[in-house]
Amino acid sequence: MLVALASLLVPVRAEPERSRFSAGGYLRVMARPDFQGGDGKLGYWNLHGRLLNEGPYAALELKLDLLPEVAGKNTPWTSVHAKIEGGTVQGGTRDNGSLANLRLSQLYARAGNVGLAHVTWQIGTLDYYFGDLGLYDLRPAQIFFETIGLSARYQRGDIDLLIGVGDSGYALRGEQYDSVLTGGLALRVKLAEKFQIGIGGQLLWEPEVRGNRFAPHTTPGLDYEDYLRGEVVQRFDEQNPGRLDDLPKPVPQSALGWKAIAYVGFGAGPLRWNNLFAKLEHRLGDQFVTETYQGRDFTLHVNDLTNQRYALQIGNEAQFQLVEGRLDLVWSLLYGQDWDDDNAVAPSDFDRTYYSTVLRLQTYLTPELHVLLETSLAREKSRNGNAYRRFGDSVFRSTDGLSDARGLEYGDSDTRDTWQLKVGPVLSPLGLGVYTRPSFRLLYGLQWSSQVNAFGNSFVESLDQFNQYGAPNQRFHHLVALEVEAWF
Amino acid sequence: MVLIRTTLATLACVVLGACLASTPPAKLSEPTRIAVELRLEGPDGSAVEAGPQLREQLTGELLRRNLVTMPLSLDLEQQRTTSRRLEVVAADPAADGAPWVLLVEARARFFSQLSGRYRWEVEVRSTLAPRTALADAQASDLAVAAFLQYEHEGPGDAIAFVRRQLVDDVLGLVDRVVTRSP
Repeated sequence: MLVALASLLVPVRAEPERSRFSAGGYLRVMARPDFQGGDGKLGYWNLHGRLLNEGPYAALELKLDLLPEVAGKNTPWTSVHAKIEGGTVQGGTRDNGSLANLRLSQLYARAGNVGLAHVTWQIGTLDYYFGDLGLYDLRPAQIFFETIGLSARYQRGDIDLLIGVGDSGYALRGEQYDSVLTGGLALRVKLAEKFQIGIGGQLLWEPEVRGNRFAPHTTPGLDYEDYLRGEVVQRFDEQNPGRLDDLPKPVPQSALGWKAIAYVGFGAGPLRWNNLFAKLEHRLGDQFVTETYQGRDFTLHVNDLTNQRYALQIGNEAQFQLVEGRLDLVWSLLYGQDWDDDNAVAPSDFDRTYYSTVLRLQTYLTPELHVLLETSLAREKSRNGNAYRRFGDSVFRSTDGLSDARGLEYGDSDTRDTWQLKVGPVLSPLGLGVYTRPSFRLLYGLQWSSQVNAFGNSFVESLDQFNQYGAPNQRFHHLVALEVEAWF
Repeated sequence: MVLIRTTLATLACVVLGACLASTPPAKLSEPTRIAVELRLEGPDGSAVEAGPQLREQLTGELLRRNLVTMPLSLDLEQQRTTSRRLEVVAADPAADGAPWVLLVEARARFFSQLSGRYRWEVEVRSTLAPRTALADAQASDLAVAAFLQYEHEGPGDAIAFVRRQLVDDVLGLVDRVVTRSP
């Protein structure tokens, strides 16, 4: 009797009250005063590990369950999601927290148990990736990052299959919007408890649309070197005096891009997990450039000059538990190659090879007090001549290593080697783990690079500036950072 | 030099701050038994495992309060309400002699892939009652997020990820009801 009475008084639910609204997010913010003229980052980019090479960032994702999923029942459910993010904060970036630099990066609705069992439908942004390289903050195996459309995701047992279709035009072309039909799929299969593989890819098709100036066109007869120098119209005028109105008209065409991705994940023993990602990508070409000659603007469509750009990227990250509760290790490798079959005359980010390795050790003095040590080694090599300056007074524009005011190369070396070291204590209120957050870090960073002043800075960029200000020869860069990173 | 001094001073503060000992919990004057059942569930309501550390951590903290855990191993699959589950826990022969019963229910649901992590939401309800007076049950609710790094990690890993917050919430309830500390 008493028990029966008690059952009336105790809340009659098997689970806690659940709000239909939830929010999650991410933040990192830091103070990194730089007394060597830099902008607070140790090096140029994530190739040397994301730590001390990234700036502040914040993301907020909102979710509302319009029709909540009921445990154990295959009844329809639906939710809406929105994600706002950006790298700006008052006092931490040049724009001082301007909301104009935040963006609504994701907006979508999901529904399950509608029409097909075990299928989740999604309409809106479709961003999907197999996982990421945590030390680099890179996602080589990612599709639909630019796409807004419809996807269906089948998840049952060991099979996870995503098929999607949509339009990537706004993300790729922005104000010069043109429809880019995108379709693709990603399949992940769990072959064993700790072994899984994934493959996928996407096709991007930008159709020929006569009359649409933002659709792919090519202006016939363009020379690549003239295009790089911005002298196409001048050359035409020299060869055809007084006939600027006869500059060839653009020819409409369609364009095709694609990306293939692959993934292998496994773990065993002290190897907690290993992620191996790869991508091979053929990028869509650019739209047009504008040259001003004799006071007139001329639009030159450059699809044929920019549609042979390819990118290969392979990354691996292994997380080891060396001494349980005392020492963890994460080791990453990254290889990338970009090549541009249209460009044989000038260095660019589309014609380079890079290799990198990052090793992070984290030891736990107490569950809340850790010591982090990270080091990285990287080589970047331009495939099209010099791209880096080794000395403060070395050449700016060059040809074959010699000073040349009309040279298309930059500096005096085609290779940049960089080594970084980061060390410091980490406070982790939630306890052990390399990736446990929030973490409060006091880090000292040291970089050596074969390039002079190899970090974001306000030093000279041209010969006339050099004559005014000179330039220091800094190969070492020191930085101290107070920072916090959290997911919430 | 100023930068180095400042860095070292800050470093010393960080290290010393991290070594601060926490206040010991209020302790019962004599050992008291408490029957404890953890019901950990995935999004579909099925039972999941979150590793031994959660139970070990909870048992250890209860012992610091002079509460001796009587672990139960019940099949609560068919009991879908907290009240019914509490009845089953209280009626279990293994709980005989325990003046207190504690039921911890946790359920993990996937939220989304968020900035490189798999965000899960874990909802916890802890219910504590005198074994012979379930009408006096007190409950505490907690909703907390877990951030897992890998896709293959599931609801059990999510619950294990938040075990510290979970244990703290349960102990808060125990301290308010049993040991009567603030």
